[in-house]
Amino acid sequence: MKKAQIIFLKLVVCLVGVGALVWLIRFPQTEGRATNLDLFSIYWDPIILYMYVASGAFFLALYQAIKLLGYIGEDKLLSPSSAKALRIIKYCALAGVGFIVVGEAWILIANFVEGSKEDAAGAVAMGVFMTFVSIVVATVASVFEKILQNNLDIKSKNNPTA
Amino acid sequence: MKQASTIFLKVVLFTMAGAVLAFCIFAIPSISKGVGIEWPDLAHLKYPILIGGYLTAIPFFFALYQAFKLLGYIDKNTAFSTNSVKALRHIKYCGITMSILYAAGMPIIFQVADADDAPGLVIFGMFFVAAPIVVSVFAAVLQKLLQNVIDIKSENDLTV
Repeated sequence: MKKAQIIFLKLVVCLVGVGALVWLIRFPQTEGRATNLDLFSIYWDPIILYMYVASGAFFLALYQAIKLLGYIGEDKLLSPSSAKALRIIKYCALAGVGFIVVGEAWILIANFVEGSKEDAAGAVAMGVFMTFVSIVVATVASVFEKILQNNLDIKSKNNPTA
Repeated sequence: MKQASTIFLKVVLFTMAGAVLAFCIFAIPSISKGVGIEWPDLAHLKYPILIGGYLTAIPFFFALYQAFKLLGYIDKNTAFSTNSVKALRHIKYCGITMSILYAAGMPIIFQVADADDAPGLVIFGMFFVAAPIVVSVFAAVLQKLLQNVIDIKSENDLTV
């Protein structure tokens, strides 16, 4: 029963990853500027390449989540390795916040310099929402990490006396 | 630090509750009214949309309240207690209830999507069916983990 649930959660994480990957590949092609460009030039754009680099943090966090689910399945949740996975997830979320803030600043400054009339409100709203989600994920990961660390400390305190 | 992070998460819960409350007060009555005006032949869906919308909000708010309680236990360093297991169990049941309610509401969404010629709406609806299941499975796993730790703890207490 528990195994099945963990496999289900792993599948959900994989699905999220695949969905993000498909979106990352599809999205540049649907942009208006893609109509007159060949396949290479569509992707050879500073903002899009930046997006791919930033997505690395996201995929690393997903990978750590799968690892964490693996530890839970092996009944090794109370181990330093799962605390490490949670810590990496926290750092990934914080890196995501940094990437988004820099990306937003980049878009706004580029818009300003080019004097573009185009409204970046949609992109900024999405960035604010994603920043919010990332901060929540980072906080949840750090709370879990602390609870885990507390129990590990108790455990290691108990072991010498035993 | 720990205090600050749980307070932040509590604020997040309040924000979510506020957003959904605003949706219940402003959006759901308008959607229910608008469906009748936009497509007169779907006017019979007016009340199912209204009632269904409010019905699904109940388990949602209950789950938020349980999450709030859970954060309180974490604050008091009593995360490993039967109380938190109970809160997680409630969250699990809330997720299942919401999924079932949304699944029951899918025929309504099918009809509206058909009338609006917007198949994306169906995918949106399916997302609402799937997301609570994921939450409840996650809650179930956490509940089992917690139960394990509590069992080990009480075993240790007995041997001491």
